[in-house]
Amino acid sequence: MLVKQFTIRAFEINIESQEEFLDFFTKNREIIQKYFLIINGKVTENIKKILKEEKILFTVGTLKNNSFVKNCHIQEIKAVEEKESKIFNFPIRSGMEIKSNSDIILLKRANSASSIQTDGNFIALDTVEGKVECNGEFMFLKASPKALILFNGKDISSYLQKNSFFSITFEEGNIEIKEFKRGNK
Amino acid sequence: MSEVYAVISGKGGVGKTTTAANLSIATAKEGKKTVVVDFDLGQRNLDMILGLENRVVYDITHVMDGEVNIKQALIKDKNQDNLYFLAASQTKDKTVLNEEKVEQLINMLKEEGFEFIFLDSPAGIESGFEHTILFADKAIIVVNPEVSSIRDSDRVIGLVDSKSKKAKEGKSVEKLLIINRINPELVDKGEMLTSEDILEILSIKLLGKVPEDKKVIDASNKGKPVILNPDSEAGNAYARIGKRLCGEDIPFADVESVKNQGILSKITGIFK
Repeated sequence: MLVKQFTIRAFEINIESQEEFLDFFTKNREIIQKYFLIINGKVTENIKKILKEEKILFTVGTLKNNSFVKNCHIQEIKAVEEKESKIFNFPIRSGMEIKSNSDIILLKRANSASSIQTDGNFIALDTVEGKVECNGEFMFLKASPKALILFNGKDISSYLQKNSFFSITFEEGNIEIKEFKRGNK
Repeated sequence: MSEVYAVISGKGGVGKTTTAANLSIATAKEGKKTVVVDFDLGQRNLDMILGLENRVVYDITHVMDGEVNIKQALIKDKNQDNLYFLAASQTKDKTVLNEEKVEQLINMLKEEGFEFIFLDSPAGIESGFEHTILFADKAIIVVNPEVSSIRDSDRVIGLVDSKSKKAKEGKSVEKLLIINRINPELVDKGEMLTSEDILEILSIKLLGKVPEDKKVIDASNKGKPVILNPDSEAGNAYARIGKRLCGEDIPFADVESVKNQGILSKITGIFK
């Protein structure tokens, strides 16, 4: 028997009318394409057809009581998009914990035993020695060998062992890690 | 004008009490009226290090509970005219401390005209530590050049920035770093973190560097702080720090380079 474990990201969507859903879908197609949909409400044939054409996986039902699924409604998605980046111009010290939906920019170090979790992108201009869990599409950082770096559910710490900055992107389910050098595009 | 210094570290055993004792003597020797208060209720040590253990009649809890006045509890040092000591209770624990009582105590010390008020914090980050930093104007963070001490210091710096009264009022508490027990041989071999490494991690102002010195243990055992020994490198380092606290511009001595190498080590050094 072969068992594979995946970490998936999902939106739970309550459909009250087909028109409202299609309008939302048209505006947010790029985001939705990267997610698994848990749809609560009536899924019309038209909606099924569109999701199939766009190769978006979905299931009908609700996982509200299941703690590992983030209960994310349409209004909340819009709110997330509008949030601004958070900039930290002081060291993130041991024992500090940051949780955010926004992009995070660190101008100073993140020290050992600090913890940063974001659903946005993450940029650090000084060394990261603590734990970073980023579920966004982009990271830019220099990690100490002691750091724990999780990107969209995958531990990428071992790929960042050089004393250099790295840019890391998440596209169509793939993680790409590039060492940053002057002149890189 | 009074300034309240909390001497903190997070980790135990890094030399916090030794530092508080020696710095209080250093500022007293500079002519400043100084008091050092042991906030480590239930585990007092400062009285032994200062050689005043047989002089303790009343302690901090007697004052905070109003049983005696501050003058009755203050113990005058036997060597320094300007230095006073307030002992911790050995029979009660940290739970007797509360914000109101600690504030009253600090105000009483200020009214006595002390220019330097050093509060020797207990290890850890529990209530004893929190009450020490609550009314501090400045925090002296004592760190050893090793990773666990640095991480714990990093943690307490964060707590000073969030839990002290000044921080809650939107003001900043100045944080000053003392790197204690620097071993030049280990630094030279690359087996000990350098002060530059530590400063990069902690990102606070350096107050002083104190070398490892075997005379410190003997001094503590005898109740005669090492600053009183003119042949002690650690004692001289504490004296320099005291002068800096009093506003003198004293350059940082090089305590990280190996001195007086023997001929054999010089020869082996060539072939490294």
